[in-house]
Amino acid sequence: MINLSRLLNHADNERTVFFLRRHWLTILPLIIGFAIAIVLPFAVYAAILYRTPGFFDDASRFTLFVLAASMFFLYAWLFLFQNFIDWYLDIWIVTDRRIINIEQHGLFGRTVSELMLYNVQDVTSQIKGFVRTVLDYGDIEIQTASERVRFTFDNVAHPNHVAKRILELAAGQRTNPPGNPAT
Amino acid sequence: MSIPLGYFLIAWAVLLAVYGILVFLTLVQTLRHGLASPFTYASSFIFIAVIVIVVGGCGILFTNTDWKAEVNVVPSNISSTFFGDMETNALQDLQL
Repeated sequence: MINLSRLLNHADNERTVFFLRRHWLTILPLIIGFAIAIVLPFAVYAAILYRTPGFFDDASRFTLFVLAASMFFLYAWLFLFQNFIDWYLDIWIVTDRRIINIEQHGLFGRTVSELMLYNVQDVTSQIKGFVRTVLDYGDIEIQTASERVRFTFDNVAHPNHVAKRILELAAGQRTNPPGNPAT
Repeated sequence: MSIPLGYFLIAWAVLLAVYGILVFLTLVQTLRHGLASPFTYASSFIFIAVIVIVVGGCGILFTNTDWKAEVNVVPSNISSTFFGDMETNALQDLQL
């Protein structure tokens, strides 16, 4: 398990500044989809009873329906939980020395990468759209000296504040790098 | 077409076994890579609890089921349920 006080390659006096996940609103469509999936077997049951009132008089048919509906629900529940895990395990940790990017891709794909703050050249925050503006969440792009964007934080809360703080921390690290005896 | 209900139970059990493997793998990944916090344990517990309730409920429901009984998977009135009255449809086709 990930313990914030014992991160990978944890340096002495390293302090966690931000612990970020995608905004909770990004999993809302999944929850709505699951709510529909829960209702679906009951809706099918009601529709069959409405069209053919005596359909479930035969107990065997009712048992068959329960077998199918229960399996449908169980797999829908698993699908929801796996997607929740995909969201829950995608994290970005900003400490006062580095940025750690942990991304879960499905059940078996996982990428862990880190970037020292003194390498950060440019941080861009972006909030696009009405809902994102109202709820204050958006993307952050972190660029190093290399041409390509190093890290992208997707749909995190308060991106402007986080971007500003990362730039401050990076500036602090450049003036006082970790190896410097003055730190 | 009649099929013994027990055959469906076997299919259900096979799917449940596959499901059990997937649940195990999901929980292993969750507990291995999740944040060490009560929320991780609570969400895993809720996940398992719902599964236990559904499977347990099915188990209770199935205790008095006669699995040797045969079920007609395509009942005689199914055509009218989903496709309207077939006899009337056929007559309309003939008139056309």
